[in-house]
Amino acid sequence: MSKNLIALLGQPNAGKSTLFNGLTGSKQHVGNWPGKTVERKEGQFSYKGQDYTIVDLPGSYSLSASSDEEIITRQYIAGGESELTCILIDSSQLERSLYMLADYVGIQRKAIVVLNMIDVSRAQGKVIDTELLSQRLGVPVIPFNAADLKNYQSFYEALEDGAIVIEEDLIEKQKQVNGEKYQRLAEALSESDFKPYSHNWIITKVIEGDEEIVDLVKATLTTKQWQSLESDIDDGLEGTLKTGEAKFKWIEDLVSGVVTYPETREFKRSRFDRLATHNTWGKPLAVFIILLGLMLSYVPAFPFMQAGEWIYTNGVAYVTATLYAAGVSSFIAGLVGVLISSIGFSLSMAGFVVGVAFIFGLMEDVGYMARVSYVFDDTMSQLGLQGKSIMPILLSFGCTIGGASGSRVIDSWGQKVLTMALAWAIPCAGTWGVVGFMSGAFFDIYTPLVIASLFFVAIVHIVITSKVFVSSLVRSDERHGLIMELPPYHKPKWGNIFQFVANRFNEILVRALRVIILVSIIFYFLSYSPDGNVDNSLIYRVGVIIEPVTRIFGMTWQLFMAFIASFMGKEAALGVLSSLYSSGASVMESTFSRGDISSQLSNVLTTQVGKAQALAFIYAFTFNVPCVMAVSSTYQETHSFSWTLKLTLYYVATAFFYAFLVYRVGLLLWGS
Amino acid sequence: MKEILEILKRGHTVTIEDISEELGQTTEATLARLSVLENKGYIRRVVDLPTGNCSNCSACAKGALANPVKNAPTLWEVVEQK
Repeated sequence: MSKNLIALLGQPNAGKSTLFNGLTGSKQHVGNWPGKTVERKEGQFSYKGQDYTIVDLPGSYSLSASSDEEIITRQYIAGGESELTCILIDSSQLERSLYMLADYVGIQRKAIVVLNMIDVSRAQGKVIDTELLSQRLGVPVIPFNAADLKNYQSFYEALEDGAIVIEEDLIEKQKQVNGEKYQRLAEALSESDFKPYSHNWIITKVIEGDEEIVDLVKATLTTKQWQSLESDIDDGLEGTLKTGEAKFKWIEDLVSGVVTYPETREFKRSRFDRLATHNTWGKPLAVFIILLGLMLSYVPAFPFMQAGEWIYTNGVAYVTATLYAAGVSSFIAGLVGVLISSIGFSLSMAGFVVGVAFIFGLMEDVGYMARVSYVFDDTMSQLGLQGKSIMPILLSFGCTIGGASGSRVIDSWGQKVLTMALAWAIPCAGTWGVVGFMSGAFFDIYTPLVIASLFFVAIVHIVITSKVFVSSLVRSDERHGLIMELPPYHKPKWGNIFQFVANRFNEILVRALRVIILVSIIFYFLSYSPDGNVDNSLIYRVGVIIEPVTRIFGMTWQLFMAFIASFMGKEAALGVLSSLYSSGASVMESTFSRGDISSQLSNVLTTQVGKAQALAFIYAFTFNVPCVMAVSSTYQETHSFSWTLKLTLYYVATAFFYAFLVYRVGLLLWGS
Repeated sequence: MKEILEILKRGHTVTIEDISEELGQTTEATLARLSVLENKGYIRRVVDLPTGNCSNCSACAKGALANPVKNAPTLWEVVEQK
């Protein structure tokens, strides 16, 4: 035994490094534990003329044999090289940290207990009677803050008073919990000596299936004694749960009366939380809040949508008129008009996405979205989904690809596919943008109502889709439980939220501009004809042919093409509309010949398309298949061409079905 | 600790508060047991796997609703013991 050699033991994040550095300063030596890749730190310090060496044992949660760190630690302590073990406990996470102590009890090496982070636990309002704790344990217990380098006195003073931790109470608990198994082991081991390990410690480790200790026991016992035990030796999976519980019971008795907790201030907040997570009221509340959020998202979107509209109506008119007056050809003027119109559409669309992002970002920041995940767990169950599916489902609100690849967390293939099948029904950010734009353009302040109707139909759609696919994907799978640690509520961090919204706006706007401008240019060229008569262009001729069919579903051929284009990317629909509905060159010509621009071009889109058609388009668009990248992602994750095809056909069919229905409803409401 | 695994077997999603209430213990006690269960490999955290196929797209990994404001709940699930 080396004089004044101390072993420093503790869980990671208990502050070992702080203490070690605080004691040794620069007098440290770093190397490796022999034969292992684990770092070994040793340092020197002195106090009152005495020199001490301290060895920093690798951080581990307990003293089992499941990692190199734990084995090294255990062997070092048991080896007896050090004469004192300093056990560092994080007093701000007392029960968790004391588990290490519980695993140490039974090792007969002198120890002291340092309750580190005492400043943090005091800030938590905890009051710890270290005297009483010390009595119960039989070793010095020091309240400590390793970061406070000026107050190490109590630590130094305690070094001389190390003792062996009292084990009786823990032995009782282990006996109680493990019953006959404990008795049998105790008897078989009674004649042997396992110093420095106590019998209780050995028995506990055997029950836990600790390989190193089981080998030790086998080597120590006689064949006959070993044989009487063999039936009790197993992998320890069950055993660890039992001995662990005994250790926690010991911990609870240990701290009872020693630690006083403050009256929690959570009471006030928890009233809302009780409602939010309530069995009966939680869901209606969540539905109400989400619906309200969706409807309110129109508010922050409004200025962008107004600005966007101004750009694609007046803005286009002024610019193209100026160009035309300056003698620029109508082809070029029209093209510039389309580009500007695209900018207006992009801005409008991005504005709506921003509105949604703001409302939901706020809900997430405050902590409410977690409650939503929790409260819909049994709904997910009824849909045939696992609890974990909530993650990809939530991601789908941003992008359906997130829903597809997010399904990787789900273990069974059938569940994965079902999750993706339902995630397709969730409108992604791009969809919200386009839908918001269209609703705003046609329905003005009634937009929130349109949104609300989409919301309810989406819910119905998800339920129906689940019923359609669940039986072929999921055999009543055992449902896996999930534990959720709900984050605490806090006041909105506006800085975070603003940054998130600004980022989203940026990303969506950039992507929208690219796609919409590109698509609108393509369609502009397709709609151009040399004689200036737009009806002779390629796209118009095709359009007119297919229109009788598209009209059945309430879409003009232009809307239909926009619908098809959305497969490339949701924003592409706006690119098509921007070129086909705003400033075709011939439209410009006819307007200018009359000499009066602005009033004529107020809003080509809304004058050429009826409300019923717009609504039909909105519904078809919302419930359509997601964009090609999301479909491709789905294919990658499902590894099934047939399922991807099935889902695609299903969604396209339902999109047309909804369009058909909604168009009829729209006709009733507004005429054609 | 076994009780917590038994609760999980029922197949629902439960909160720390639910567990603490049912077992008649403080949330600190529940969290302490969860950390041991996690450490010993009986349960594990459900981790958001990185999404693929997103070279040009930042809509979900960076910008999606479920992710960015760092207030997501922690989820644990049972590890199948072989």
